[in-house]
Amino acid sequence: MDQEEVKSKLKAFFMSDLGVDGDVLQYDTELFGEEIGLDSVDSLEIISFVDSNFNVSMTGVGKEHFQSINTIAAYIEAHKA
Amino acid sequence: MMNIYEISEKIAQRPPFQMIERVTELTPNESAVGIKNVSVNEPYFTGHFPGTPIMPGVLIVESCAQLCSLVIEKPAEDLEKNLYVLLKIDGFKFVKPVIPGDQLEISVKKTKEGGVLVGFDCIVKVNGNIHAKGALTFTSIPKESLGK
Repeated sequence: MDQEEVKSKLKAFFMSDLGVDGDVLQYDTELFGEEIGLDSVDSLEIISFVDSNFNVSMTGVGKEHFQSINTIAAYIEAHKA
Repeated sequence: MMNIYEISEKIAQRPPFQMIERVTELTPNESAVGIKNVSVNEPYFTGHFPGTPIMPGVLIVESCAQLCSLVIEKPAEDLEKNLYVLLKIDGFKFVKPVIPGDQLEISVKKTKEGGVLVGFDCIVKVNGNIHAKGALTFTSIPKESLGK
């Protein structure tokens, strides 16, 4: 799976499971900022989704990796088996 | 199949907050079907509502959550250190009221597991008709972090 596919899958997840507006959400949009406003429960959902879909564990990973779809995708790319 | 004695060995809740009385089907870490009998003698009917007893929706959710907790099987050392708690309630609908005399047949099925989350779809039926449905997500928290 290439980076674009990973990002597109992440975006679809944010829209369908976390209720984020797809028009607002770009790959570099700050996820936990004021605009999107995700919270700590959502971060557990992200960890769960990444674990079960990409087989990459993000448990205990620094918050800088959760900033945007781009940073999550980069972390997945760097840590996938 | 589990009776009330076997259920009590597995869950910590006790009357008047024990909301699953029998388990008729159980596939560990996958799914279960359980029963709750709703009696007019239950204490919450005194106030919910005087003269028109209806089981509170939040307690129907609690019944589903207790059945889910019976599905989640973890190694003893995990359960010693961690507590599995309800994290999220999604899309619950209370389609028809539940009243004294009803027998809730609750079905829960695991829909996701990853990271520290386990998710379930729940359906509550009375006489084969759906009265409530929705999704619940659980997580584990270290017991030592409680209250800090």
